[in-house]
Amino acid sequence: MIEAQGLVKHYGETTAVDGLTFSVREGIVTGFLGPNGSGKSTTMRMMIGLDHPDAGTVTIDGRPYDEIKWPLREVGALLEARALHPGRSARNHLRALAASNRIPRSRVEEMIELVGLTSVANKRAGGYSLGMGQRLGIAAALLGDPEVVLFDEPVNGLDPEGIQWVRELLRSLAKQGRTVFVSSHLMSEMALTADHVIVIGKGKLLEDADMAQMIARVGTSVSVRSPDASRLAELLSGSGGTVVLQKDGALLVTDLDPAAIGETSAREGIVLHELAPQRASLEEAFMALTKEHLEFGHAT
Amino acid sequence: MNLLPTVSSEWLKFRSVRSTVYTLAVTVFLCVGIGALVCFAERQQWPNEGLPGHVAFDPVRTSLFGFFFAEIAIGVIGVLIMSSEYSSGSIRTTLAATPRRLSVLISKALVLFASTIVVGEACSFVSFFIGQAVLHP
Repeated sequence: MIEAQGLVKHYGETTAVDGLTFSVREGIVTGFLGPNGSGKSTTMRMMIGLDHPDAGTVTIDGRPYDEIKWPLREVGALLEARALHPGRSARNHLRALAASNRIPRSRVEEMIELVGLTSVANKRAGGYSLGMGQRLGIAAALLGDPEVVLFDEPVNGLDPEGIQWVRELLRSLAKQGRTVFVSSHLMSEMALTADHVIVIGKGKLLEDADMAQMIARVGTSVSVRSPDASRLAELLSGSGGTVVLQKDGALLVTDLDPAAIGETSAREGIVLHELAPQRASLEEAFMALTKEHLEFGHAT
Repeated sequence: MNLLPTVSSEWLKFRSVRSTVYTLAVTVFLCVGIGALVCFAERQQWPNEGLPGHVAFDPVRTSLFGFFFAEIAIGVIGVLIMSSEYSSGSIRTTLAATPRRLSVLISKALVLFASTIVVGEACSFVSFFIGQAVLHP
């Protein structure tokens, strides 16, 4: 269980994190979403004591990180992939970490095997590919068999097979009852792994909801086809709907549910060829949520 | 504050990269090599030095002359131990594993102290005996 209470962090003039309060439960995968520069990494750094909040607190199972005696045995964190010395081998990197928290050496070998780095474990980490570096970071995070796992953009730089592997890993960790907190700037990625999402923009909390709730809150639109499209469009706008004519001649209606559309057309005797509710994609919902909160405006 | 795990971790980090090990080797080379060279020069110059030079001659100091240069290499090791953590970003991993900053700093200092005193001591003896052998007529 991770609890953030009114977290604030400034860097000079910019406010990276602006009053975040949320909690991350055990036994599920919690996604941490926000556009680039929205304060995700800063928040995660504060969780493991690499940054000090200007205000507020963040605790892990009730304690600040720096009061945990053997932190690697309770919290595993994957922050930037390249948080290691390029001249040191994966094996020595993990051994040094294990020694610092009194984790048995046998665990190092287990982790090397788990992430599939056996053949390169004695090679200098500087020569690793992005994906291998990421795997080593994951091995380091899981080294102490921690109850709480923090992964910052774990699938960055991984190939499709690696991405699949990380997804399954995250889900299995949650299934074992651990607290799993994963950041991403891709909603679609979270839709596949997370049970709960926390969305931030410009350091502010925008959404803290179950994935299912999130999908429901997105709102649905309805695709309508009719030979008498223009008259129907007029009628539907008149009864409070927002109608957009699509290129292929279909009408995309929002703010009216399919039942209301069907009843209107029946009342007016308009023939319908299609009446199909459209699930707005989560990616669109995420864009809508964070639109006003983009740190760096860009034309998309 | 139990320093032992942090010290053993820092020790492992110290000896698992080339830069520190190589710089330590350079320390030995500078100390012994320059010491021997100065002793050799002193011996060559001996007949030309005259009485004042012979009175001022200090055989121990002459054979340990390389230390002035070896000290610089030891300073480099001290800088490497800390700066490489920041330049590579591994400081984040280090501090996540050991959130108490002071423990990390003390452990690094201890590792540097222990390794350089052992190497330095060995260098002194080797330089001394090589120097004496070179100086001896």
